[in-house]
Amino acid sequence: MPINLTTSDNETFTVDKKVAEKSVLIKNMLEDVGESDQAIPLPNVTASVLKKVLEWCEHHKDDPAPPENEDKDDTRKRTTDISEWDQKFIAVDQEMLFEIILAANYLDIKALLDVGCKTVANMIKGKTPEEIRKLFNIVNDFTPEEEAQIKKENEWAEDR
Amino acid sequence: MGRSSVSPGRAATLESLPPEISQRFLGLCDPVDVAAFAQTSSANHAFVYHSYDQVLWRELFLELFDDPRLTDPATAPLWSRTSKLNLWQTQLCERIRARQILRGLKRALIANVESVGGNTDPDNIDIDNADFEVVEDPREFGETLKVLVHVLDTARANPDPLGPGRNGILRPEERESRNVSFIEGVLDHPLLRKLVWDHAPSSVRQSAAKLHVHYGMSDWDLTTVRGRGLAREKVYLLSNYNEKNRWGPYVHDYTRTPNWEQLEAMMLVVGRNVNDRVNDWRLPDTDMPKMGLWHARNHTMTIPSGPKAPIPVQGDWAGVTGRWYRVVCFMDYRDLWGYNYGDFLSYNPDFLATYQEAVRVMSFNLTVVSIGKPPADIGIRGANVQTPPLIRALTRSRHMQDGYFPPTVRDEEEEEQEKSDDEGEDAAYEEVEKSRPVAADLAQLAQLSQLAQLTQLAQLSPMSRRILTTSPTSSLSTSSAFSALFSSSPSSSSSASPKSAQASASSKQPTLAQEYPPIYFSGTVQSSDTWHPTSYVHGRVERNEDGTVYWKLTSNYDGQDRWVSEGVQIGGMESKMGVFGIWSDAFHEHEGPAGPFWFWKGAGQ
Repeated sequence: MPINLTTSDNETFTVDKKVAEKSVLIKNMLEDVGESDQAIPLPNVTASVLKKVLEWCEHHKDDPAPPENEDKDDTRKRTTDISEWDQKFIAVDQEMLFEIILAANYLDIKALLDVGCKTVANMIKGKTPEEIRKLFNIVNDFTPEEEAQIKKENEWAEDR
Repeated sequence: MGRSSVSPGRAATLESLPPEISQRFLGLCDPVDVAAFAQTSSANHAFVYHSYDQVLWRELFLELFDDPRLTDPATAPLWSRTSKLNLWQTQLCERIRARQILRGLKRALIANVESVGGNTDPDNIDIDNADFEVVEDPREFGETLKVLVHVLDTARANPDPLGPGRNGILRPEERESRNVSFIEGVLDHPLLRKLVWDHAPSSVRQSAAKLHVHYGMSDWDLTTVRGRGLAREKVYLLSNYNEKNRWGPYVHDYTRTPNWEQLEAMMLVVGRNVNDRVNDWRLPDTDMPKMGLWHARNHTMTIPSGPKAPIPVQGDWAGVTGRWYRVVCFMDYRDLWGYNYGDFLSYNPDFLATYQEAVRVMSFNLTVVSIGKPPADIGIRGANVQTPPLIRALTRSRHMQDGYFPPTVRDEEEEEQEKSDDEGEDAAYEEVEKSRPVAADLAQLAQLSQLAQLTQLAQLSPMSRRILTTSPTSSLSTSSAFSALFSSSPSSSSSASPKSAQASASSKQPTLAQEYPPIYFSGTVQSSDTWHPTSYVHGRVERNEDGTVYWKLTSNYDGQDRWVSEGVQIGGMESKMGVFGIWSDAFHEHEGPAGPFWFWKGAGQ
């Protein structure tokens, strides 16, 4: 059954129910309102972002559902490995990356949120504070005194 | 072109992400990356160091280390995410700092080898000629080793594969320990290990040796000539064994604290001899001796299986029942005497380095005789000299099959003999045990055990205290929490030392002694020449409150006790690595011989 989704900039997307239900938010909405021809409004997502998100959902529509309580399962080591397809999918500019993360968070698509967060983590890994600032356009608002103090505080993590 | 998004009117940036998402991606980073992130701006700094709770730090900690709340449930309240102690943060920072320092030393060691054109392939490094002058701050280096030992000591315990509802198998995921993996990862280079084993400041030699014993022997340990000589010099120095350490591998202060330097030397001497000969002994795979971090773990020993396997005895927490192997080493008595009492000036270090001592392997079939109380008549005493101990041991064990307890009513004469003989040297320790108060107010007990834990953290973590006092996030509230708890000890005034507070707290724990009472056992000994019974052995295994497992074995020939052995089980109860220690003359006559041994459990076929 096709589902209609309307974005904040008033574009309507028609997708298969199976694809739309990768979003726990949409899945719950459908369960609440039952079958209907009415488009589901997604006021927090723009068309360009939703297009990207739906591309991901389409590709992963047959993935097994994630186990419940996955967050509580801390016996497994976390990993920042990303599948090849997801790596290509997420190779976008930073603004789009953060938009996808925000949309995945809002739409409650945990696996996509993971891909986004792993990507950010991999961007941060192994960098100096100055490299991180440059990469993400972060403004250094420390005074020189503060900076010296902060550096001292982070001594535990310093390379020797 | 304006685009409406989740944060309307603004382009999405890293800093516009909500905190739960920041926590998510930072939780996937190494702590070092999180520290770098915290230095980028004041907002990011506040997010990392001044959050209202410890969730990010907890996540980072648990990614690298075992959950301390599961390792020691009594401390769980201290690890609450909102606790002002900030333990997740302080403990993680301390451990990462240790890792960073050791990584730096490793880089320096490798650079030294490179600078003289040496081979830096870990398998082919010329360790004997490497330059180990890399430690600039010995105190800091020493602290990192203490931190590693703390990580080792707080590793999660393996579950008991023979526990209730279990089938005797320890699944691979049950053997995991992030603490042990961390140590393995940090000490991943032979040059760094050599630096730790051989160049630690003297004040932390015990810590370094403890790490070495648990890590086991590396290639270099198995080839060095000089190292072998040094280890023999320590092991065969008879003045190292006396009543102050019960002629065992303990510190010379009557406390039976393991002397890790001595145990390290014993491991090196026996391990080397075993390595030279083990293939001649034709042991089944299940019975081969093993060492290393993953074998120096509780509940890893071989569990006897198959039709001939002995039936497990209820209450045998040490896995005594069944087949054991023991390797003993000894010097020719004239050489031993010459080394110890001969002309000091004529001693040539090469003599022990290239010496060939005798090595004997034997196997034991052990049976539990009693649990909790010494048996009435194990071994040989006075009038009973003619009775073979084995027969009495068997009678005894059949006699006591329900519960394996000795008769509660014993005649006084027997009691007297007991005390004067087998337990004679323990008398002083038993007295201490008896004087312990058994009943304790439960609330007070809980408070005390918390206090003890805090004290332990404070004691064992020199660096965390420094972080506590220098880090602005932990501020005064944290350190005052420590001191407030110290002074609140009901047993003492505010000037009480942490040590006394801890001692008084732990001495009121009644449960451990009940859970792991001493086990008394006896058995037959087969020498490798014939694998037929040639002598008897009786002994005792004990576990103290910090988990140390002590074995005492007495060899009995023709009804006479001849040798007595004291040892420590590396890795705690039922570890695969087994027991290292020292045997000596049962009557401890002046100038009596002594030598090292290794004792491990086999499959019992």
